[in-house]
This record gives sequence, C-alpha cells and structure tokens, in this order.
Amino acid sequence: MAEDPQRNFRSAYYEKVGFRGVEEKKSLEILLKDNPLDVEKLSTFSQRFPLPSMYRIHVWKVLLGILPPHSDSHSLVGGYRREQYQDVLEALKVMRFVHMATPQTQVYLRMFQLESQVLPRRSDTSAPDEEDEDFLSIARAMEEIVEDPMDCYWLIKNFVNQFNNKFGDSIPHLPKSLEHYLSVEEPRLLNHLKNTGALAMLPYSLWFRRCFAGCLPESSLQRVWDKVISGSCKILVFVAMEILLSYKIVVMGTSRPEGVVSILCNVSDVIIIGSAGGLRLFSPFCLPITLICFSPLLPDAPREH
Amino acid sequence: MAREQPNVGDLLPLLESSDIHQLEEIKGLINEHLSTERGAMLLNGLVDYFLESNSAQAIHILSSVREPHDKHLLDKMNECMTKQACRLPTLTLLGHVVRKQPSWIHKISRYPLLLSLLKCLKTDLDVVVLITGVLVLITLLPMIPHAGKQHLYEFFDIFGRLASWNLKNPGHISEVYLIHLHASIYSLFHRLYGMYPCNFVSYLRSHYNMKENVDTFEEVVKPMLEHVRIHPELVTGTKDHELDPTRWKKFEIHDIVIECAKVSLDPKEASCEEGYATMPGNFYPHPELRPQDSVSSPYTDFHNSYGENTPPPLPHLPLVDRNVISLIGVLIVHSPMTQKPVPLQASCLPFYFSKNSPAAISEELLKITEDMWDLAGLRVFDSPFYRTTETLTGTQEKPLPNPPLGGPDEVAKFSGLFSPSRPMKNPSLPYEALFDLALPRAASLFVGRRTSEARGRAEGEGMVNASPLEVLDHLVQQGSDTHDKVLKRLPLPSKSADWTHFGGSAPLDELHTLRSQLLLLHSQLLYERYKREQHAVRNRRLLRRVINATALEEQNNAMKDQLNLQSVDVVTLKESLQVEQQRCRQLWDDRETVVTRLHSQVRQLQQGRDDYYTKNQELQVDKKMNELEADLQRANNKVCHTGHLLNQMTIKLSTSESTQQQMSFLNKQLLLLGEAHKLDVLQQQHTGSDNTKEAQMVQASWGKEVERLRQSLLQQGQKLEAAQQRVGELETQLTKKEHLIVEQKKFLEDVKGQAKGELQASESRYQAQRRATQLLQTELLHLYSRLEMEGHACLATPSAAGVITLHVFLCRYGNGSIMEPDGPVTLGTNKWSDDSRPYQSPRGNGSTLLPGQPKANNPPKAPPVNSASSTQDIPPPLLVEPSFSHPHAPLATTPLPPDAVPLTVGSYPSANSFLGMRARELFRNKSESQCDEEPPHLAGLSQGLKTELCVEPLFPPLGNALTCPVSAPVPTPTLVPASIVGAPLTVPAKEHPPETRQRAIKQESPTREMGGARGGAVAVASEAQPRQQQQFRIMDYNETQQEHS
Repeated sequence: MAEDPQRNFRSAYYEKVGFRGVEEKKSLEILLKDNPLDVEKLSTFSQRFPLPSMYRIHVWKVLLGILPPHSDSHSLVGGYRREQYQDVLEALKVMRFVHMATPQTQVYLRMFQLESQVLPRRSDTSAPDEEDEDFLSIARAMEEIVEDPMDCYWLIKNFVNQFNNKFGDSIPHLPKSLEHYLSVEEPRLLNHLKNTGALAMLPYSLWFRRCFAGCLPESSLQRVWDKVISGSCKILVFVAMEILLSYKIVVMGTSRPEGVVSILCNVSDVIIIGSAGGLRLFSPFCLPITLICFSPLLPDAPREH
Repeated sequence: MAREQPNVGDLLPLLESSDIHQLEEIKGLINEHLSTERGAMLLNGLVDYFLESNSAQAIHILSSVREPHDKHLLDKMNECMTKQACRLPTLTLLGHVVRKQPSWIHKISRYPLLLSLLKCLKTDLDVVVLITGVLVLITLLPMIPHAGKQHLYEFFDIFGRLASWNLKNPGHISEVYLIHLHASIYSLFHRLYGMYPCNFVSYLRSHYNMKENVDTFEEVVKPMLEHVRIHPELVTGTKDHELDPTRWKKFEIHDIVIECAKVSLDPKEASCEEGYATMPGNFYPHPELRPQDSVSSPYTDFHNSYGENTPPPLPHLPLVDRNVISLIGVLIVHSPMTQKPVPLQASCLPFYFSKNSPAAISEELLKITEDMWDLAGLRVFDSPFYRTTETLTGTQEKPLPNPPLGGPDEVAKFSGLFSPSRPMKNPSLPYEALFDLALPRAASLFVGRRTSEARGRAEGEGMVNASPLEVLDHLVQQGSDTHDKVLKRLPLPSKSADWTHFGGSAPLDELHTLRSQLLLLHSQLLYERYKREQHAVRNRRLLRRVINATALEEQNNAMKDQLNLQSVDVVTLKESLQVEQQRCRQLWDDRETVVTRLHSQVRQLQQGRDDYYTKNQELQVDKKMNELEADLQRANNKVCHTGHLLNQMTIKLSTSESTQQQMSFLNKQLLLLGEAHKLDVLQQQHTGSDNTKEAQMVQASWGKEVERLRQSLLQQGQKLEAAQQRVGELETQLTKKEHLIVEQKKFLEDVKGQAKGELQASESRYQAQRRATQLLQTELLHLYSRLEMEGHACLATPSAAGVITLHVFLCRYGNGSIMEPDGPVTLGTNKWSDDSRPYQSPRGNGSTLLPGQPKANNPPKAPPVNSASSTQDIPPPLLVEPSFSHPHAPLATTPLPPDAVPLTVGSYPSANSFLGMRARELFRNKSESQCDEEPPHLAGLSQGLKTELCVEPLFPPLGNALTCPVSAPVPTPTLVPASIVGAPLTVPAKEHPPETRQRAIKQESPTREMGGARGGAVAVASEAQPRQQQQFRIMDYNETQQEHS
C-alpha cells in the first residue's frame, strides 16, 4: 500500500497523528476501482476499518450480493432489482396486501414474505410472530440508514437472508460465548447476573437476532452492521459484553432482573466509534474507553489471502 | 628470721587470750610461720608450751601440723617421753595427734616414738599414764596394722602386763583406776583379738598356760573372752598370713575398727552393726560422750542453751553447792537420762539381784548408796579438781549459774579452805558396788560379807556378763546419783558455811587421784569420741557405697532392659537373616538353573558352530573343487582354443601359401601387364589427338551444367531464407495468438462471471415474478372458487342476473372502491382466455409448451383452471355478449376481430407460456445484446487483438469461427428469424395496427398510474389474469425494445 504512487506520501504519518479515516477512504476507493470487485478484499476491509458513510451503501450492496462484482453490469442488475421490486410491490398492491396507508416496513415485510413464499393468506391475517418482529425492527433501522426504498428493501432482504443463512446455526451459541467472555473479563458481574437471575433474561433476541436494531443509535449501528455484513457474528457478542461492562455499575446496583433488562434494552447513549482494527465504545457510565478489538482475532473472520 | 623467732615464741602465751580476733591472728601467724619455717624451733616451743600450760590451742595447732614438721614433732615427743614428768601430757598430746589422723601418721611406726611408747607401757608404773598410753595404742593400732609384724609380741606383752597389773600390784592403785584400766585393757583385748586373732590366741595359750598366770586368766582374760565370738580368721587364717601387710591394704582404718567390733559380743564395746549385738537404747553411752574439746565445736551452743535450761532444782542450790553442782552438772548436762535417777537404777540393778528378795536388796542398796553419796558428796564438795575440770572442759560451764560465784580463783579458795579428811578412811567405799562388777572376785568378797547366799548365783548368772565398759558407766552413773542424793539430803546453806569454815586444803594425794581420774575419764571420752568418728566416717563411706550400689543396680537394670531389647533385635535380625538366606538360596538356585541352561545353550551353540565348521570346510572343499574344475575347464578351453587357433593357423598358413603362390602369379601378371601397358601407352600416343576434342566438349558441357546448378542452388538458398523468415513470422504470430487466446479465455471468464451475476439477478427477479404470479394465481383461484360457488348458487337464475350477481359480488368482495368498468375487464379477459383456446392447435410449433406449462408449473392448480373453464364452457358466450355491448371496454380485444388475435399471438408464439417467455427473454437478452453490442464487441476484440491480427488474411475465418459458436446456439427456433433479421422482430409490432400500440400504451398507463401515484380511487384490475399480465408485460417489453432500437 505504501508503495502505491497514487497515495499520499504523508499517509505514513496520518496514523501517528491520529487521523485514521483518511487513508482508509483512499484505499477503499482503490478497491472500488477494480472492475470485477474483489468481494473478499472488500469484506476484509470492512472488518478492519469502519466504512466511510458515502460508500457504505454501495459496499453493503456489493457484499450482500445485491450488485454483482462486475461494475459493468451494475446498471443492468440495478434495473432488474428495481423491476423486481416494483413487480413484487405491484403484485402486493394488486392483491391488496398493501395500500397507501400501509407503513413502509410492513410493506417490506410483505414483500419479503412473498419472496420467501410465506405470505399468509389475506383472509387469515394474524399478528406478526417473533421472526416478523425481528425483521420489522431490522427494517426500521435500515429505513433510517437508507433513503431509497428499493435499496432499502433489497438491503433488508439480503441482510436478513445472509444473516440467517450464515449465522443461523451459531446464534443459539452466542449467549454461552458471552457468558464465557464475561467470566474471563468480569467474573463478579457474571456472578451478580447469575445470582439475580438476570443472566437468562438478558435481551438476547434484541442483541443477537435483531443485531442491536432498535437498541443502538443509527451511527453506532452502522458500524456494528459493517462487521456483521462482512461476515462476523462475534462482534455481536463483544458489543453485548461491552455494553454489559459499560453498565456494570448500574447493573451491579440493581438486583431485580427486570430492572437489569430494562437498563440494557435502553442503551441509546452508548456511542461506538470505529477505529483501525476494531470499535470503540463510549458510554456515560464507563469513563475509560473500551476498545473492542475483534477483527484479526475473531475465529470466524475470513482470512486475507 | 632470727628476730622473728623469739617473737613467735613470745606470742605463744597469747594463745590463751580471750579475744577471739587476737587469737585468730596469733593462730594464723603461727600457722604461717610453720608453713614457711622448716626448723623445729617453733614446734619444740609449742610442745613445751603445751607441756607447760596444757593449752587447748596449742593442742589444736600441734595436732594439725603438716608433713615436714612431723619428724620434729615425733622426735620432740619421743624426747619428752623419756622424762617421767612429761610423760602424761606427752601421751595426751600424742593421743590428740593420733586421733586427728594426720596423713603422715603411718610413719610413726618407723620413729622411735612408738618404741618409747611401747617401752613406757611395758615399764611404767603410773596407772594413769598406762591407761592413757593404752588408749593411744588402741587408737594407733588400726592406723599402723603392718607394724604388728615387728611389735606384735610387744603388744601382747603389754596386754599381759596390764592384765595382770591388778593381781600383781594389789592395792597399789585405787579401784577407780582399776576400772579405767580394766576398760582400756578390755578395749586393747578386743583390738588385738580383732586384728591378730591367731597370734593373739596362740599368745594367750602359751602365756596363760603358765601356772603363775592362771589367776590372771581366770580373773581378767576369761571374762573378756566371753565377750567375743570366735574370729573367722581362727578357722581360715594362719599366724603368718595375719601379719602379711598385703592383708591390710584393702582395709581402711575404720574398716579395721569395725572388723574388731564385729567379733565382739559386747554392745558397749562394739557398735551395733549388722545385727551382731542388740543394745538397749536407754543404756547407750554415747550421748554422754559428746565432744567438748573445742570452742568451735558445733555442740557448744547446744550445751550452752542446755545449761541455761537446767532443771529447776539447780538454781535453788546455795552458792556453796555450786561447785559440786557444776561438777555434777557436767554429767547431768551430758546425760539427760540422769534426770530420772531412780528408774535408771531400777533398770540396772535387777541385773544383779534378780533372784534375791527385791525389797531387802533394794533397801540395802539404798543404804549403801546413801552412805556412798554421803562420802562422795563430802569428798566432791571439797575437791579442788574443779579447776582442772574447767580447764579441760573449757568454757563449757560458763553458762551455768556459777559465774556469780567468781572465776577459778574462788574455786581455788574453796579448795584451799576445804580439806575433807574423812573420806580418806574408806576411799573405796563409793565404788564397792561397782567394783564387784568390774572385778568379780573383789565384788564377791565385798558382797559376800552381807549376802553370802546370793553371792554364788549372782556371780554365776549376772556378774559374769557385765562388760567392763558397763561397769565404768555404772561408776560414773552412780557417782552422780549419789552426789545428787547427798546434795538433797544435806541442808546445804548450813553446810556450806561449815565447809568454808573448815578451811585447809584437800590432801594432795586425793586431789591427784581425782584429777587423774578426771583425766582418765577425759581420755576415755576422747577415745570413745574417736570411735564414734570412725563410725561416722564408715557410715559416710557405706552410704556412698550404698548409693553407688543402687546406681549400679539401676544401671544394671537399664543394661538388662537394653539387653532384652537387643535380644529382641537379635531375634528379628535372625529372622530377617533367615529370610535373606532363603532368598539368597533361592537366588542361588535360580542362578544355578540359569547357568545350567546357559551352559546347555552354549553347548548347543558350540555344537552348531562345529556343524557349521564342518559344513564350511566341506563347502570350502567343494568350492576348491569347483575352482579346480573351473581351472580345468579353463585349461581345457585354452587347449581347445589353442587347437582351434592351430587349425586356423594351419588354414592361414595354407592360404598364405596359396596367396604367395597367387602373388607370384600376379607379379608375373603385373609384369606382363606392365609390359602390355607400355605397349598400350605407345599405342595410345598414336591415337591421342581424337580424344582431346571430345574431352573439351565434355568439359564445356560440364562447366555449363555446373553453372546452372550453382544458380539453382542460389535460388534454393534464397527460397530457404524466405521460408525461414516466414516460419519465424508464423511462430511469432502463433505465440501472439496463443496469448490472445489466453486473454480471450480470461475475458470469457470475466464475461461469464458478469453474465452469471446478471443471470442471478434476473433469476432472482424471475423467482420473484414467479412467486408473485403464483400468489396471484392462488388469489385468482380463490376468487374463482368463490365465483363458482356464487355461480352455482345462481345457476337457476337468468344469466343476466348472474352477471349482476357477479358484479355485485365483485363489488362486495373488493374494497368497495371497484367501479363498474372493472367488471367488463374481467369478462373480457375471460373471453380472451376462451378465445385463445380454439387457436391453440394452429399456433403450432412454438406453443407446444403452452398447454403443458401451466400443468408442469403448478399441477395441482391446473385442473381447477380446466375445470373452471370446462364448467364455464356454456356461460362464456353469455358473458361475452354483455362485454361486447359494453361501451367502455378499454381493451383492444373488443374492437379487434377474432381473427386478429391469432396474428398477435402468432407473432409471439410463446408469449403465453412462462418458460417460453423467460427463455425468450433470456435469449433475447443475449442475442439481442449481442446483436446490439456486436459492433462494440468486435471493436473491443479488434482492439484486444491489436491491429496486426486484422491484417492477417487467416483471421477472418477464425474470427467467424469464434463468433459463430456464440451466436449459433443462441437462436431458438422461434427466435431465429427475429435475431437474424432484426427487422421482423419489430415488424409485428409495427405491423400491428395502432390499436395495438394504443392498447399497450393504455395498458401501461394504468399501471404507471398505479405505481406512481398509488391512486386508491383509480380502478385497478384486481383480478388481473396472469396471462393478461404476461401479455402486457411482453407488449410492454416489445415497446421498450422498439424504443431501444
């Protein structure tokens, strides 16, 4: 990278001074210039560094397979996607599953259901089940991030599909993993949680099934999702653990499990800042900055060739 | 030194000083002087001083004299012994020294002092001196036991002399002395008998066998013999053995004393040891003989305090009596028993008179004692020996109540005033009762005067057993008792006046007797004390031995315990030894077995080795044989070979011979030929001119030919060069082409990937479409089923009513916002679907998939379609008509004649089927994109292939071949015309009347409207049929296609 003549000769010093983003943006642009985009490299980059927000949607699309690696066919495939979106939407409209007043996320859910052939009969409309709720919350979060409804729908759909396909098996094991890391880091807190019975009641579905959608603020969520989309579900455990550690004092002060859960469900004041090699998590209750360092250490992170 | 000498000599009188400090100083001075001075001067002075003053301090100093002075002292004493006057004090001094037991005392046997002592004892006539000397000798004997060898008969002579003293010199001395003498002889007897029994007994035998000595034996020696048991030495020992000095080596002094005491049966003489004698405790005399010689004695305090606690009667005595009391006090003080005089007498008197009538005897005795005490009292009162006593006893009496009377001066005055003449008449009277005890004969004479009957029995039974020491005790005892009684009886105050009034001094003889008596008593006392000390020493030794013995015993026990433990250890060790031995044996056996096994193995191996040796030897022999055979063969070979060679050589020889013959023949020929040649040359020279011309012509033709050939060679070389160049070119082209092919392949991959991505996208899109369509179909079916049910319900009613009901139903079923015009739309489509059916067969080839496709797509749903259509076979015409009549029909189907429909359908044969449409779409995509993009593709290719390739004439067919496979498989039967021509594709669309287009536009507009504005009020074909939709889509597509083109 340093040998690249196109790059700024000061690049070597940026990091020393503390500017991290500059170089990453450059390198990402170089990556995006490749004609058949190297998805592996992109995902590695995304795991290593936080994505610049101007490229985030594009990279996400590529990583989630919404856009093919060949940039030549982007417009064509984009057209297809659009048409598909419109067709499905049209069909739903025709079938009167959705109408003007239907909230957008509901529309996305119906479309998703249609595409995955689980659309219930219109006559027997039942209350949305757990999975639908997860989808809806993810959709709500995504809607805030993405402007275009077509992009939004595609991102939601592929995100959910990829998440379920890739990590569907490992999600049930994440609470155990969290417990393990917690026992290493802060056994006192773990004991407290165990004793009060809050351990079993922790908002695991909020954390691991919805990927913190609706829990973290949008900017933080983007950074977490960067890692999730690039293929790491361990980040969820680390973020959960950091949240626990950040709210340790408050949690330790509460003995009722319901109180603990309510505290942990409302952590919107936690700010996660991406940095080289990991994330940083700031919270009002934890003055020292905790660094979530995961990418090179994570066992499920894809190795760079 | 010379100056000091007189000083020290002058100091001697100061020894009598009463100042203790001064006394100590002087003693220290003298002792110091003695330790530094080796001369005999001071010692002689001291002895002289002692002889002069009889000083206790001097005795003290002299008796503790150290080693170098012993000679002087003994010499001096020897010297003094020669003088008659000094003999007694010298003996006293010697007694003191001997009793002190200095370390050098054993030397005395070598000095003349012993000889002079013995001589004195043999010759002297003074009883007091004799008694004192005998006591000294008795004391000295155990200290010098070895001296007996030289002086043994002298000792015996002394014994014999003294034993017969009384009989030989009757009446010479007083009975008191006799008693003392007898006691001392008794002790000497014991000592001699104890130490030298054999010699002594033999002496006695020889001595008293003589007639003149029989009396002495009867009187004196025999009673003594009754008090001893048989000495064990008499049985085992001999005379010589007794005198052997080695015999005494193991004995200490007290051992000898005790040895002597052991053989005694007399408890008075012998101490009670080891159960030899049983002694009545209240007669034990020793308490009376307390030491009284030194001021520093520990008993002094006791005596002092005792004196103060003297019984009450004494203080009441008058002053005059104090002298007597003081004298008696000595005895009283020292014998607590005398405070009860009467029981004491009673206890001792029955000893004699047990057989007499007690009353008479007691009465008589009482009388006697009274008389005796009368005399004794008188005699004692005026006795001047108080002073002597006082000097002897030292400060002993001072605590007694006599000090108020004054000092010794007053006593002297008394003694001066006092002159008892009466007692002299019967001097022996007080001792009569005792005398018969000491001397049986005298006693018998005395007693026989009064009690003649009792005499014999008393003599036979009681008196014989009386020990001389007991007699002495009685003497002292009775003296004090009598004195007591006399004191009590006398009206002392009056008498005292009388005594003082008598004046005069006591007779000198009497005084002397008393004094010497006192001296004897004192010496006896000292002797007894010495014995006691010996006993004490012995006790200490024995005690130590006992302690040692017990310690040894304990040690022994401990050793025994240890022994037991060790024996247990030994037993265990033995057991373990046995175990170990067993194991060792077992191991040995194992080893043996192993050794034997190994031996057998070794033997086997050796055997095997021998076998191998033999085999080896055999093999070697074989080998040698083989070798020899081989040699033989080789030799044979050689022989054969040589034979062969020989044959060959012979053949060669023969041939060479033949060739030699030939050669000679040929030589001959050669010669002949040479001659012929010469001849020929000669001939030729004649014919040479003709040949040159011909040769020249030949040469010219040959040259021409060469030229021609050279030219052709040149030509060929050029051609070759050109061909080589060409080959090189072609090779470079080939490599370039290969490169190109690789690039093409890469590109193909790229394109493939791209196409795959796009294909995936379109696939997903298609899937979505399909799902949507399925859903729509299900919805449609649902509606159909409802409609059918509705239809069934209205089967009886007129068809118009059915239409209305359907319409109503639709209105009801929908959102309510469905307008009327919607109904005809559905009807129209229905009709269209019905219409399409008749044209199925003419549609022919392209639509083969049409009937099957829906079935294949969703077979369960297909039958209802058919059934629905079959059931509606009749209704459709009914339904169609109203639709035709409907003025608002928006679809183009209404204006179109039925025959126009096939045209539309025909132009898109597969438009109805999903698969066909999809395939078409796909292929069209490819083919069309190929068609569309062919120029740019070609350009890209040409660019990629560089300009050179295009120039190459071979390329075009290659390029065709390359492109053909791409385009060739793409067209499907239906699409081939469209793809090839391009125009026909658009033709149908263009050929379509404007209605078609219009229809398409119209069709589009509602959808646009719906998608964009989402107008809820706008009528939407909610039950839009899939086919119609497809048609719409196709047309829409065509339209876009047209727009594209």
